Amino acid sequence: MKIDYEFIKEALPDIAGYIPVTLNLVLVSLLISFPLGVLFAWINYKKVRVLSPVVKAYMSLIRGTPVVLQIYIIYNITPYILASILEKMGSDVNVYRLNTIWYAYFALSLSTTVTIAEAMRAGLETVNNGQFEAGLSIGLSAPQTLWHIVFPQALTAAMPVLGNVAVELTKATSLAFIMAVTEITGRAKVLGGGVLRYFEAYICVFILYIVIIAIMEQLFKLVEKRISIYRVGRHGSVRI
Amino acid sequence: MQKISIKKIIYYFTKSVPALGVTFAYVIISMIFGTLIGALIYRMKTSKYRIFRIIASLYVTIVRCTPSLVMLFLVFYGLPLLAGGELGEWLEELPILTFVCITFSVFIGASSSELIRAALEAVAKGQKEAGLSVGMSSLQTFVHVLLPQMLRNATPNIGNTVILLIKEGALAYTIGLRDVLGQAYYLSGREMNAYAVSMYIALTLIYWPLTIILERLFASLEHALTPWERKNRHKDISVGPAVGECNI
Repeated sequence: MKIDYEFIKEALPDIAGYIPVTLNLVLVSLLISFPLGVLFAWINYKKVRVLSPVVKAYMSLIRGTPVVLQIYIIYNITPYILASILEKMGSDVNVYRLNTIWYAYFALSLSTTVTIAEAMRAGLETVNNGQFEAGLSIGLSAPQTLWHIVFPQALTAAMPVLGNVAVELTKATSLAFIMAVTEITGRAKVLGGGVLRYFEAYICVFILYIVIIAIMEQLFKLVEKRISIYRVGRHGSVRI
Repeated sequence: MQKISIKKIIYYFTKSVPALGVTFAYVIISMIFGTLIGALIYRMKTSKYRIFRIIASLYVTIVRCTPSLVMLFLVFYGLPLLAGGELGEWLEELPILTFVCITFSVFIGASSSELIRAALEAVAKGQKEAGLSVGMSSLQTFVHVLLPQMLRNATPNIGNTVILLIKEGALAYTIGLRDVLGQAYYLSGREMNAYAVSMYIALTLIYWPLTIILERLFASLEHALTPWERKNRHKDISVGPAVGECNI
């Protein structure tokens, strides 16, 4: 068998048409998991009673199991649970007709939340406690201090790791085809499977992922540069 | 909703646990070959020739940007096709485990080149000079002075990589490998997935404790290897496993 370059030429634009689905998965999962991850990081950092052990157990469970397994569990069990809850509430919404992309958001957010929580906790730990006290001493309330003083610094410290999290998430979206979501990998599987040209189809996906992630990394570099004004000690003084 | 049957959980658990052998086989093989590739890439990165440096950084970037699933498919479908002819036919006959090992060696190669760099940089420069000054050859200095310290520094990251590999390797069921997840899926498929929920629980009960045990094991290994840091040790743990330090 020879490599079919014609097929690659035809398939590439077709598969590239599904890039919006991949980006959609990444963005919505990030939007779900970022606030949750920050919340979890805060709970762990402050060692909130009852909640902290629960969050820790959750993080350990998610870190301890393969993402494929999580995806299968979410995809196969949530509909049953949802259906039985809705049935009890007397609603006649049919969960089985729900777009499967919702399950994909859910499944991908599970592990992303954990990595964001870890990154943010490490970020929070870099912020000196004196910063919090300084905020309070000039008359800011505790939430104001958190929002204006502590959080920007923690975010700055966590930014490089958050960039990695986003890259990992983008790569993890390739698993969404398990949940019948047609993103670029799923499309390649369908196209390649039709004519038994898997290799050529996956070469296209391979190229697309490299382009997407390379652009993402550049974007994150820009953000990092922009956000670094919050870093304490840059040019020897604080510039906010 | 399917009934959860304890009997079925035990069935899937006991039938899948022996497949851990397959999991450990590819983990160990990929770690060995991956580290060799990583050493080569590191060597190329620090080479004085620009072409080698470009090739090395291109390799790392490309591998970093590829989802393991896609890489797995590329290796599995692509290698026999690219080799072509008799070699291709011979490659097609090889067990699936070979392709899995190749894929993950490629991945580990990229991440371990960074690990090697970090581990080497953490060893004080004076150590090498001290080794040379007492009359050891540069190879002897490396083996007796630098390598033990590097291994020590790299222990947490090696642990992370092993755990990551075990989890990522579960993807290999898509090309038909029967590791823990693959075995459970195969068994479940024979029963028309009638007890899928029990199977998921059994798999969680295998993977979760396994990761926790490995995490503990590598933490105590690090502890045993760094006796002089024991006093400050609690400070180090609080940071938790390093996120994003080694990307596969």
